Amino acid sequence: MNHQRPTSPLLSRRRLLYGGGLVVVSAAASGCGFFETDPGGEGDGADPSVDKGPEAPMLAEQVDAGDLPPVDERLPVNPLVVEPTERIGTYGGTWRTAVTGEGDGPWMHRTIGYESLLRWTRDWDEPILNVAESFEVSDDGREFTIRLREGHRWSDGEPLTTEDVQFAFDILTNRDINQSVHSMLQHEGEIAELDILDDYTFVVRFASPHGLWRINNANVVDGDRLISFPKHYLENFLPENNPDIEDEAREAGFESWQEYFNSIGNGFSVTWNNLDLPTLNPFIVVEPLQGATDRALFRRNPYYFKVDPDGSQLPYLDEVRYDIIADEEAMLLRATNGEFDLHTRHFNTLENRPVVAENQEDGNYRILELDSTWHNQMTIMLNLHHRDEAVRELYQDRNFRIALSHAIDRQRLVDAVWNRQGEPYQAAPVPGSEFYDEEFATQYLEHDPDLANEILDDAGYDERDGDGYRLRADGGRLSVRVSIADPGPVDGWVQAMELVADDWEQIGVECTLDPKPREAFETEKSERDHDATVWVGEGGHNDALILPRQYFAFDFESHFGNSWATVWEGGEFDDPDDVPPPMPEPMAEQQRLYDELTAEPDEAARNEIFQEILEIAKEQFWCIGTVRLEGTYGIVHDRFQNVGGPMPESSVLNTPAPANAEQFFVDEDA
Amino acid sequence: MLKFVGRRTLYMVPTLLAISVVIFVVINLPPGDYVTSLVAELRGQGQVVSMERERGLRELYGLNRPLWEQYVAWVSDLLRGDLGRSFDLQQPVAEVIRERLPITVALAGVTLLFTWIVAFPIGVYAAVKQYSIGDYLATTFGFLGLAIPNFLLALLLMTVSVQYFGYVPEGLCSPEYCDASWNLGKVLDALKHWWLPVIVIGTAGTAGLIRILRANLLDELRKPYVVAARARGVPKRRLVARYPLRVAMNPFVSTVGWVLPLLLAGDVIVAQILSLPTLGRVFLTSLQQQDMYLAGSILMIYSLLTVIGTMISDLLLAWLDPRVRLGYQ
Amino acid sequence: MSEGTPTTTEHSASQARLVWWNFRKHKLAVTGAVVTVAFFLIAIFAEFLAPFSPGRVNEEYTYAPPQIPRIVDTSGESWDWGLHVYGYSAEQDPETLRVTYTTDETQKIPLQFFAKGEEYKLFGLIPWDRHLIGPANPDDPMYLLGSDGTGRDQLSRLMHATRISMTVGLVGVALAFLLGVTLGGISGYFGGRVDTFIQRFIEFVMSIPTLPLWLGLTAAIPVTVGPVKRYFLISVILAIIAWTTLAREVRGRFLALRNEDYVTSAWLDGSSRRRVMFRHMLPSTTSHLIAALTLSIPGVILAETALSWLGLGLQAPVVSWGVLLIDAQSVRVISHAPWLLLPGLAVVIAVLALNFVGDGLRDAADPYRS
Repeated sequence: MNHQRPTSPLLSRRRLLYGGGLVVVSAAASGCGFFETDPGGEGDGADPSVDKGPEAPMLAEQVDAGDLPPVDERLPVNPLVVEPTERIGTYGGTWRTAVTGEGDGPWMHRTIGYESLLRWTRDWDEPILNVAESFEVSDDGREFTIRLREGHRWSDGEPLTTEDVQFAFDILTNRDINQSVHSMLQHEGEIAELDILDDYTFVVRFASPHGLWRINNANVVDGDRLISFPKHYLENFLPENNPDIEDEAREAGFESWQEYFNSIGNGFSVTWNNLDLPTLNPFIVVEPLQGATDRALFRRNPYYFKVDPDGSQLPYLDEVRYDIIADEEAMLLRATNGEFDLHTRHFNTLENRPVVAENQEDGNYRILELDSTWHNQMTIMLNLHHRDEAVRELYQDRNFRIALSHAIDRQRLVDAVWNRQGEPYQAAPVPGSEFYDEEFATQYLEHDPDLANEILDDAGYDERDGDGYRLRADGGRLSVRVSIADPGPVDGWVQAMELVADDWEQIGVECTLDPKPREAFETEKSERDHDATVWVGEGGHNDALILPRQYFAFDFESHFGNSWATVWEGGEFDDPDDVPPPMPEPMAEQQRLYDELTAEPDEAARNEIFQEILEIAKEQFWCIGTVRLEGTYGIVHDRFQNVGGPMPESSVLNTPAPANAEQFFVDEDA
Repeated sequence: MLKFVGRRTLYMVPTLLAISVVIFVVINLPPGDYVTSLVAELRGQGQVVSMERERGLRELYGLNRPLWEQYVAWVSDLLRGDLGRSFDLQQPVAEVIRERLPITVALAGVTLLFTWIVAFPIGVYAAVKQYSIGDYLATTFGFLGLAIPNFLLALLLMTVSVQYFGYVPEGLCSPEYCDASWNLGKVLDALKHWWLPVIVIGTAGTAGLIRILRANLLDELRKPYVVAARARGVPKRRLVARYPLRVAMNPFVSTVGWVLPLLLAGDVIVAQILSLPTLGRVFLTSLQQQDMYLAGSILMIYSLLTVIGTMISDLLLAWLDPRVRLGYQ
Repeated sequence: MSEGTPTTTEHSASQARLVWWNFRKHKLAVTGAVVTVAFFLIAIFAEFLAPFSPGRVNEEYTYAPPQIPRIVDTSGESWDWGLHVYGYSAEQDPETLRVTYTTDETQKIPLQFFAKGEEYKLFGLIPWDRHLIGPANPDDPMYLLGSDGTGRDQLSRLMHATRISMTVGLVGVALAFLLGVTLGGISGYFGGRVDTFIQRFIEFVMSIPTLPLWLGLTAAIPVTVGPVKRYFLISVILAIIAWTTLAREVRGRFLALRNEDYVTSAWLDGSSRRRVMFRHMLPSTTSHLIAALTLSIPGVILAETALSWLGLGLQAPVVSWGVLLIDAQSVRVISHAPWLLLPGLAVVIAVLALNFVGDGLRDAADPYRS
């Protein structure tokens, strides 16, 4: 049913491609006749009537041939047992999906790149054990004792031990390689300590209590850092072990050994591109994402550490194939033609929903509903630390923001831009979140231009110029230039803002739109040169506490005060001109409270502090919300099993990774 | 003649140097640099990137140096044959180009062939039957490709294909065949995918060629020797094929020089929509991300091709027409 | 080009007239000219011709299909004369979320010529509120070419887009023309070292790939400039790219003309260089120049659409063909709202028309040839 090709498929394919499609390579070499039209690949799916045994047939063959140790030697002593979402599956098959190109790392993470120490459950209830066999937190919240699984191996068969953890720790704290200490290993300005207790147990210790470290270990880009650096392979690329590394780097075309090292084993894209890099993921790269290629291909990891309830090694699927489709419209066409098994990214916009939904039957797929964790499709953030003092004063005037909010006809946005879906909503936690506060979510929502005018008049902006625009005390216009990333993470912002701009003009506030490419948008924002921006409202659900971006100046995505967030994170500005003006006192208080929160080991107490932060956000109304959608969607092919029903969609949850890709399987008869 | 070639080659050096300056400046014109877009991307993936790290990255990639210093480093590397490395792909630029060049050239070649096949008969027909319904129809058809924006044509043809043929012809092969060895199926599969980019990129170029061919042939057909031959009763078809067409073909051939770089660049938008693994797509991304050595080096190669192409076409022109040659002396 | 007074009228015709006679033979070119003029008329009178303003949103009618204007209403007992369209009834599928419209014959929306509607300023000066055609009640839906995703009238948008797209071409080409004619003329007339220098310069500009130049220059336009200024700057950028072809064309003509007998005789007569160039040579290249000019407008129009696609050109809320086409560049539009592809047709027609006019002019440019 499957045959291993003698040469690396990648090499042979590239060589053929270089022929320019004109060369007809001797067909005899491949063992197939030229006049056959069969692609020569393996068929999908397996016969469910046959007992599947403890390992995949393709691996059993290699064991028989002596190329691979038997399955029980490849599994940890205590493998992780995964309960299937619907039923126990069968071996074989390919998961067909797509990426837009080299820059589409997030979808790789969301599909096959989620092996952290801990893991979120599918419904996002709590972090559960994953690579870690145990994970204990000391009472004072400073010490974390973690045990790896004995016998757990990298995909090349080498054991995973605390030596790898120590190696990772050294890399992550090495400023020569990473320019700064990784945020996972820093807390309140202090670097963590690592104690190795034995081959499998280690302790991470912080100088002060760290309330969020356990949760962070279930998150995708942080939780796998300590177990992503296979020492036995990577140590050869460091100058202390390899004196010739500078020369080797230059030979490989790099300026320094650091750049070379980064391209081999540091960062994220290496997992999808370096064929030699051992990993813990269920699937390992056999055809890289990078290069002149139409697809990336991943095959099962013979040393994967999870089993199903029968004790059969996972994953069920043989392969995951990512077709590289740069254009989202082309991707949509492929999707509606039934060419993907599971996909929840890129083309799944509200705008495309009618097309996707209507083609379900023809394309043999179903729609997978995903619950949105965003509180807003579009939040409007005025730059509260504007470089111009008069403008800053205006934007910092809460009454001005309230008037702007009342001026917006949100129902019109819903009808005209968002397919008649969604409801008017402020930048506040969503129903179903434990932080939900109806008043916060609905304040200043009603469309009332008269009220807005009244507020502005009362606030002292009653003078108008010849064009009917209101004036500030210093004589400048009440004016907002809204920067919009185009294309942004969701569609429709420009159309929506055109409507909002109309509404604002009605109350005598000048509003111009300034759509620009993402790079220019980011640059402007980091220079504090924006007037206002629009962005998605992340952090509406369980991620509220992790991503409170729109509740106060939390990080670079708090566009109303991103430089304040930078200062708070300990960033220093080279140019004194870039140092932002002082923060409004309530926001400073919020940052203080959040510092308290991260130091609080008790969950209930943390939530209480967060309530306080939200109270201030509600009172101060930093950020104007517009419309919230119930959810988004993905597609699942009829033959693809164990995906299950609706689940939350969030970049923090890494949807659909918690649905456990390793237990998906293909059933052609379904 | 040799002197002429020598002089032109000498002119190329300052031209290319000046171009390299412009390229470097233009790439660095947009605000920010590669690290800006890298940091944006990393943050988009949920990572925390401190200012310290941002500074460190700039230092690592040498982007903290003054622009002129970066330029000098780049050009002196170029002169040594080192095209630099791509920050984003973490690969030497030479390797990036090597991987994509064959397929790019193959596609450009097939497209050029297609362009000629379409343009040639239309041009001849339109000249021979000037101002006839046939002339109008042929010219309109020939110009359609130019008039329809490439991106629209590509999407329309894709939609039509999925509707009527049941597959989406993006990329250059179907996933199950990309890896397969060459057999009849793979050849058929290649045909299933190549037609779209060839048509979309190719038709855009046909209009120019039709125009040149038609105008040249018209000029030639009015010349006394043609009139005389007609008077002596030489059949029109034979006559056209024998002399005027050949003469009219000459400038046609001389355009080859600059058609190639045009085709390489022409596929930038199409490559993005159809996900072609060609230089065009990697080039667009590199420009947007300010991956400057990659973008810069691709541009330099492109400019070199253009300069050489112009020289070839001038040479051909000089060789064909002594008057032009005299004008240069 | 003799300057002498003609003796008989039958044998005298100005060059322009000769060109026109020749041009008339090219039927396609004549059709092209008519179409081009129509496009420019639309551009000039867009506010009056368009029933609505391009930004007028009606959230009740998103992706509404085109209505067919009718003259006679047969639904009632007696025939009812009067220009009208039928209204829509809309329904949203709860699962696919698609809004489908059916023609509701019970809702008759009377239309009027010179209908009262939104106020505007004709040519930016004369305030008026009449539109060539519009619903008798300005709030009634009238979408003769359908509506877009936010319920804006496609016909109105198309007309306003025509203004922007046709003029961006004109402005760009006008700038390119100045540069091209000056440099090309100098190069062709003087020849020798000056020619070599200018040719190298042209070659240099031509070998700068256009795409990064666009990327760089548009990105370098300061963020604070308004849409109008941005539009102008983009025309300039487009012109920078378009002038080289023109310059080459002019130079070629001048090179050829320099050896013509009449130029030599003018020279021998003792005319000054400037006089030879402007009085004798330039007039005979006029038709060629006009042809070249016409042929370069379509290039600029297409470049504008390509720039928009790359996110670099004009951007919403400005309405140009490129901007409209970007909205139409989706599977959703092709399958559910194909009428939004009409801007593509407008581009095709405009580009074809201008090309034919240019070709016709060029064929006719040398009236003594045939």
